[in-house]
Amino acid sequence: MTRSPGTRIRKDNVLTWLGYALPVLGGLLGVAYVNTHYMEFINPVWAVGGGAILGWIIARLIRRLLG
Amino acid sequence: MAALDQTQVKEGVDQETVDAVREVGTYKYGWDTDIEMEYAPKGVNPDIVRLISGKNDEPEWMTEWRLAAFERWTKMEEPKWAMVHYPPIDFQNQYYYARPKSMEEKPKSLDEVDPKLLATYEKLGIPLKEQMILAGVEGAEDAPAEGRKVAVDAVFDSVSVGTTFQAELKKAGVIFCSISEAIKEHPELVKKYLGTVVPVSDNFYATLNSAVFSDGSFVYIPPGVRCPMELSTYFRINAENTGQFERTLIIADKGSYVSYLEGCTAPQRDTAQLHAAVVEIIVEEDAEVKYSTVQNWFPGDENGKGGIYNFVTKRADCRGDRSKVMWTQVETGSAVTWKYPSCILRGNESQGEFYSIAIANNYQQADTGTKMIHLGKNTKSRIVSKGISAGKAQNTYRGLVSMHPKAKDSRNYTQCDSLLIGDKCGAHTVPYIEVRNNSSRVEHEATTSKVDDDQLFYCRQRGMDEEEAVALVVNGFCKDVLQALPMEFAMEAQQLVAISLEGSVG
Repeated sequence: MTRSPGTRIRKDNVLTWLGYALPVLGGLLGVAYVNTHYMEFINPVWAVGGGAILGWIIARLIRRLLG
Repeated sequence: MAALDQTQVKEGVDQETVDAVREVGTYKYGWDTDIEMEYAPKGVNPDIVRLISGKNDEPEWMTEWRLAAFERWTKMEEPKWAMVHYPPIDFQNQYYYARPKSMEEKPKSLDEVDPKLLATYEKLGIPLKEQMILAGVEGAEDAPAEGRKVAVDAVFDSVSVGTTFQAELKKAGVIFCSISEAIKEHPELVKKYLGTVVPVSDNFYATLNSAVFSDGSFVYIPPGVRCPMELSTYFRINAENTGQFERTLIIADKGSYVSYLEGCTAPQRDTAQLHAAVVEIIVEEDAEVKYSTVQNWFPGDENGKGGIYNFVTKRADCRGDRSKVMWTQVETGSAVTWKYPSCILRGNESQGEFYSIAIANNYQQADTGTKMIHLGKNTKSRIVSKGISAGKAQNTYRGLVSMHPKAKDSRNYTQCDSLLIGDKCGAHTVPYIEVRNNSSRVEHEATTSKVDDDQLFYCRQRGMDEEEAVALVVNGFCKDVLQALPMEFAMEAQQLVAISLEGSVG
């Protein structure tokens, strides 16, 4: 689908997109942290879950500030 | 291989190709250097101990230290608890000191160096630029270095032939020299640390080493210094009926970092030879040491004849808080391996890591593992051991994880995997776990698996031959450990793993 030259990126779309993207990004960062800090013996389930929740909270904050 | 020897080479096939085919499955470093050697009389007694001390021009306190060790050794018994079997070693029927005659006096120019010694380095793959320094040519160190920088200390039988990049390391305050040189040049450091991690009376082979060690490496990294290059020692046994007894002492002062690698090879002979080494590492507050070993001693022939008996004591003492030590070893050679690199985690929040690949093929026997002794609070350790057995070999993992009462909130994770290739080899696991406080956690995982026909069939379907398929499976199995090696040596180790298992299938 091509966007017509006059169409602008809508703020609502970005905020909705952030709500999905930041928890995923948080989870990925959790995985990366567990692998680089393996001597801290962090449970990967907590790291991924924690990262995802943190991402979700940040997304909510951004929505609240900009929405 | 005998059939190949008898085969007449067809016209048009060059000799290089024939030699390459002949070399497949044989030990690459099995040649010896025909060089004039100087030996001490056979056997070990107080006179031999004094003679070795005298050859190194050591001070009186060192000779006394050696003699006290010898006195203790005469009262000790050879350990029999390891799962290795070999004919009794006649300790009085071998040489304890052998050095090339040309090394009696340090050569001043390349012309003075024994060409055979130079050819040996070239054949072992030590860069040409470094050859001059290893040959002891004065002024060679100041020439600009090319390519990757790895400072090398080359030990040939009982003597250190030379150490490269000493001047450059000195600029950073790092001392890297042979231990015989350190005893003369830095006696205060040697006196302070020698024998404090592996005491004279530690075990039968360590005590013997304390009495007769002839050379080895010494490293001192001053506080806050990150060693500007990799340090390495290359051990070569060349003389027949000669044991090699080297001693390595590494001191990483507060906040320093060093990565050290050792490699070793020996000629292919029908008679077994003894190698008993001691490595002591002292790690102070916030310091970090990485110690990697690629052990490629002659493993004996396919009938179990010859090979090196490798009895090594390696130990690191993490004395300071937040100190770190990491042992990585790739053990492919030796007829008999008896080796347990250990970490004493004395400082609070100190960390110890151990990564090991032990490959035993034909009639090789390996009894290896580690000891993690947690003494400080919040100490952490990780053990990853991969044992591969093929042919009629026996491979044993023996490990100790000890959590002492004061080691509150400490953690350990142990992963111990064994891979069997064929139906006549064995894999054994002997883990000891002692926990004396109720806040520490210890995890132990162990697996034993076989390279099965399905895996090989799957690989062969994709055009690989059997040897390549086994190498692929084994490299995947060893990946965790190979990744822990310094970049420069990981590829070399990967190839070595594949070569060690050549001929193990079919």
